[in-house]
Amino acid sequence: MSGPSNGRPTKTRPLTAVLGLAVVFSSAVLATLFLSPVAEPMRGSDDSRRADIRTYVIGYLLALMLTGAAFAIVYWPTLASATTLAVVLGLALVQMAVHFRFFLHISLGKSSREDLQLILFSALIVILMVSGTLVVLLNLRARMM
Amino acid sequence: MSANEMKHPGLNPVGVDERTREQAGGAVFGFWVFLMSDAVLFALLFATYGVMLPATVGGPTLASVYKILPVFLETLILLSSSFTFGMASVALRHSAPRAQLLGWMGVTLALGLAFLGMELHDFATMFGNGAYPTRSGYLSSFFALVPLHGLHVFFGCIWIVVMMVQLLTFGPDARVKINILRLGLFWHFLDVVWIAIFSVVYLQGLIR
Repeated sequence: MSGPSNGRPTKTRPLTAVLGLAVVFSSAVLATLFLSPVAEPMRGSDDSRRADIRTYVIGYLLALMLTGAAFAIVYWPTLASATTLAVVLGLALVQMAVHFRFFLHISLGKSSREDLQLILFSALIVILMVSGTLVVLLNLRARMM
Repeated sequence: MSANEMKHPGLNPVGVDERTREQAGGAVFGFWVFLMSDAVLFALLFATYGVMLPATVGGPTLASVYKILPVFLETLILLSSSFTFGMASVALRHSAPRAQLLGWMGVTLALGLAFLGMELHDFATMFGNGAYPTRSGYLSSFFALVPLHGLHVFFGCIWIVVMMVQLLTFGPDARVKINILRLGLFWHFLDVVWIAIFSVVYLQGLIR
């Protein structure tokens, strides 16, 4: 979110490229995750219980892998710091999507209520407010320096 | 039937009558409104943190007072607690024996308390190294953001205890089920906020 704001002059061109790549990659993953149908077999049966448990296990494993990847890339630095940051933020976005999909059971397909619109609208508000704050205040800081 | 089963985001209870299902829908929607307002609150604290990043006034930064291992362990603990609460939700949804439900909730509670203990220990270490909230704008924003999440986890732990007592007193009736459903959403939501915290605050601060 606060990408190149660490005060040190980073090469912005590669950073934007990596950020762009991260965004494209995460949106692809998000699209696949959310458009795939939620497993909802016959109610009450043993199959349905196993399917529910499987959902949580898959979510847990995915979350563990994403967390491990994010920490590993910081613990064993292989990339430039700006690139590392972009990768970490991209992994965080994907992991949030995993949590929403597998733990909070949100998918774009089946929710018929207003809840999904509420969540999407809140996400819009959050993006606008956070990016607006960062742009305005970091710009102000740059001008004051 | 199965196409209309998913009435609201969250793990819907099965085998309940239509009226309870409708009530659950409304109750859960209201709780989502609260969660999203909480998300906006956290988002603005993140924005403040981002703006305050350079405002260290020569004081300690995260890299100088912090190691990566504790935050990794805290992340694993919180992640596992999300999973164990998921198991509790599955037990509730499929009317498993009460002991099983209480067991999973107990494990979740223990993990939540372990997380809180580690976090408090971290803060104590930071204070000991001269990183306290009034030292710099950066540390003020840090201590506005991260302990607020800890406070949420603390209240989540209290809520788990309350729900375990309600389960023992009333049994899994419709009201208790809805409340545990909301508690689950709250707990998983806290984990999502933690993802943002460990990525934006800790990992960004520790990148060399």
